Amino acid sequence: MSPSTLLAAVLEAEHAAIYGYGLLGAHLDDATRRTALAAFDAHRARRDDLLARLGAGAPATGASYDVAVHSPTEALVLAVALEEGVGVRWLDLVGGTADQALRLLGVGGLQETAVRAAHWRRLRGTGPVTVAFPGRR
Amino acid sequence: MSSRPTRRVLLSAGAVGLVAACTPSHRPPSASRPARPDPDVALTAAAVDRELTLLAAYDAALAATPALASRLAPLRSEHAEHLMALRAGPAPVGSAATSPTPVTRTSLRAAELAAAAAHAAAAVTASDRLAAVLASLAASEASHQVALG
Repeated sequence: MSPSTLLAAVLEAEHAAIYGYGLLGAHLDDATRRTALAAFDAHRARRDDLLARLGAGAPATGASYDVAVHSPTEALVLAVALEEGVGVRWLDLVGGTADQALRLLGVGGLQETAVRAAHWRRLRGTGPVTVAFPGRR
Repeated sequence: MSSRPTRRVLLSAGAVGLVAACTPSHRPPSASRPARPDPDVALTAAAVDRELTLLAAYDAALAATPALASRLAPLRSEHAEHLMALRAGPAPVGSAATSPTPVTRTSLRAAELAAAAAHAAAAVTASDRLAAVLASLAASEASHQVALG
């Protein structure tokens, strides 16, 4: 896969994360909502960076997502899933390019999602907080 | 008896020619070319050493503070998985890690951060396969900060 295809895949996951965080915040208490807002902002920053890198080659947005949140627990489960989804695409980028700048970008992105996923798992309160291989499908 | 080639012989010769034409002309690299060392070997060995050091640190912390087992044991187990993943590649046997003196959660956090940074740096120059392994390890180590609290 070309670097732009791999970056576009990350962008797609970032769009989904931004949409998802927009939904789940309403179900969280104030302190947790602030954490979600920080994650939302981080994903928007990544999205903007990816859009700038892809330029005219960026895929059009407009995907619709079949997702609903009804409770704080569902909000936390979704937050974990969103971070894991983005992490998979970052790792695909690392393993799919020899470009060192893109590798660095991918590792940094993957680390961020892994840390946020761990925060959400800890708040969820059940199951392990971390995983041995973030980004693996 | 005629010496002219038969139609069958001509066809057969043509077929041989075709096969010859389709045979790739390139050859594998000459055996006389000096073999370059695989950079993955050194990168893997260094990553194995980092994981062994972390395992020794967790062992020391668990021995010093058994009450932390529920928090530390899952993290230690992930490092054992990391080690196995690294040894599935072109890995020499890692050197035995010495048990570090500090065994606090603070020192574990510092050790995890250092390993995360080193794995990440190694992922930049490794082969595709090893880069993906190292990137995942770098992310796991970074996330251990959260579990260490």
